[in-house]
Amino acid sequence: MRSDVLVIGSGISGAMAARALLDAGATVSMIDPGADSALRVRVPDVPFSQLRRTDPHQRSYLIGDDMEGIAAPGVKVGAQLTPPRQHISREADKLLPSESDTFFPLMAVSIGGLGAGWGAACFTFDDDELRRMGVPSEGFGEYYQRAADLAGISADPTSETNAHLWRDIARHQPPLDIDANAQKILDRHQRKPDALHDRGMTLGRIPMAILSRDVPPERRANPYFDTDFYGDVRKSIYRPKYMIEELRKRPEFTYLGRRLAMRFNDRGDSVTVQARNLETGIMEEHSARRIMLCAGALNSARLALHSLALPGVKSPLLCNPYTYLPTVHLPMLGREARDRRHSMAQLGGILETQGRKDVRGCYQMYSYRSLLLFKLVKEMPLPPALGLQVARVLQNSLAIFGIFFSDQQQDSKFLTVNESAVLRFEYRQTEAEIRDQRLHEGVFASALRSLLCFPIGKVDPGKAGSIHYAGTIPYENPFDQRFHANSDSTLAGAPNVYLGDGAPWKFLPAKGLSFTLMANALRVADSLKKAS
Amino acid sequence: MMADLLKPTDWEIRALAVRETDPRHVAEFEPIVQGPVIALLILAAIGLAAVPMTLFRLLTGKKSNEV
Repeated sequence: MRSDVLVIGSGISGAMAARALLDAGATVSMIDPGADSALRVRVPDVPFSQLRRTDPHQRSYLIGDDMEGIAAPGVKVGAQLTPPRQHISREADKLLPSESDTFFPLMAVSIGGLGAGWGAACFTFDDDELRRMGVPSEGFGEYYQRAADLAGISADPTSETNAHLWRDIARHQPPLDIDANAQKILDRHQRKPDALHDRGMTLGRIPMAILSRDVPPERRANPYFDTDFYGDVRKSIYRPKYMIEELRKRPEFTYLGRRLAMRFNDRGDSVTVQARNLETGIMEEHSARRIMLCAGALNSARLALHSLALPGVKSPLLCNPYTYLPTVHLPMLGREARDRRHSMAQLGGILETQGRKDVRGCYQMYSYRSLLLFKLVKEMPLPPALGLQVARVLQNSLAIFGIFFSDQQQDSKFLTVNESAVLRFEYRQTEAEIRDQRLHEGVFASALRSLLCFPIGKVDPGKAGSIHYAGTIPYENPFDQRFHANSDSTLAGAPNVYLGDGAPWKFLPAKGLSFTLMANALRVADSLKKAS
Repeated sequence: MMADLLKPTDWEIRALAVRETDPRHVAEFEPIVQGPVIALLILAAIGLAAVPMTLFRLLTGKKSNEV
């Protein structure tokens, strides 16, 4: 059966696009590697502290039956994935080959894509940022609202961070509670706001795709059990997989799981897609009037370059540079901290460009609670028996701040694809970018000290560590005009191929991109339907 | 470089992780919450103990301090 639209990829973009197209009356099929894990549902629906005391099977989901939760020494991209999330990239090396000495991305083969491990923070981009990306800002707020309605967002309408991070979104759930560590930091900031404001920073609760209220019939409010890194029992955190499960109940939707799209051919009146069935190894052919690439910026570019037979053609590569600063929050040292908490980011904010008013960095603050202590001991230059005692003393006072920086096209950041569809990445920040980032990290660290959060190191998870990728099929390609996106988000040279993910963006703001990917997928789906 | 030398071995970390995920040993991994003064005293004591223990570990190839 030929569908109206074939969506490639089931992640943050693909799930929203499929939903919008079905709602608009189209028949939709979806090709997706669709790896899944049964471990998530093995996590008992009880508080983390209780689970630790009582569950004899905890090792299977906390560190994995094969110890896969114990990452190799050093910090690397994807090391933060707990065993129940490691299916996201387990087959990626084999199915999505790439080469690089400078860029080591996390690529997903899971149902829900990278959204299966997303941290759930939601931010909106302002008109200027959308303009720099090449995305029309007019009416974009409507798409943000639709995405918020579909994903379920909790937000604090009084948070000072909203001025930069959250456009006027009228419908959302009440804010989530924050933990004791974050509450003390926020209290201190609210008593002395100038310490941060004078440095061009804001701090407050941030919108999260985590339910604070039940959404019948299946999704429930977060129980504050602190098991969110491991389980999804109540589906309180939005995952694209839930959307796909819902869509599969509709007769107009066909989910073609365990298939890897290899190449497409735009024939003018339809598009055929060759896909490998990962169970049988057989190559299949699927067709639709139009297709929408939502395979993630890296793999959408692979598919497009390979399909258009453009080996060796350069295309830009954007990725938010990322650093995190573990700190000791002195007021929590040696103090009790309540168990009732969710595990995801508690607070966040922005860091303005020094001397200007645009957003250079965006940060999120996590407490270190439900992640196990051996991970801390591993990084300490101490005998393990002593390291463990240090970790026990510091555990409740650890506040981890992850900072994302904006990224823009440079000659030294690009990808290519060879004849065998292997991606090759080159990603080097310019000297000026590195200097500017260090400057802002210094300002940030100094601001943290004013909150009595004292940095105890700086961790660079490596290039690609933010797991935010975009800009690989841009509206304007400075390297080669044969390969780019058209202004209507179709692929140049393939008018029936729509780009539903972040591949066309020319600029990547510092704020997390996931929520904008959702809104943008709804926009492109609308555009596709109008063109039909 | 020196800090890397002093970090626990993979084997030590695996042993610690196995113990941490055994409910019978959960108390050994609970946070220490006797207040900031005790916390600082413990950290100071660990700092003092770390010097001879670290030297011993280095001299014996890190094998002396298995958890």
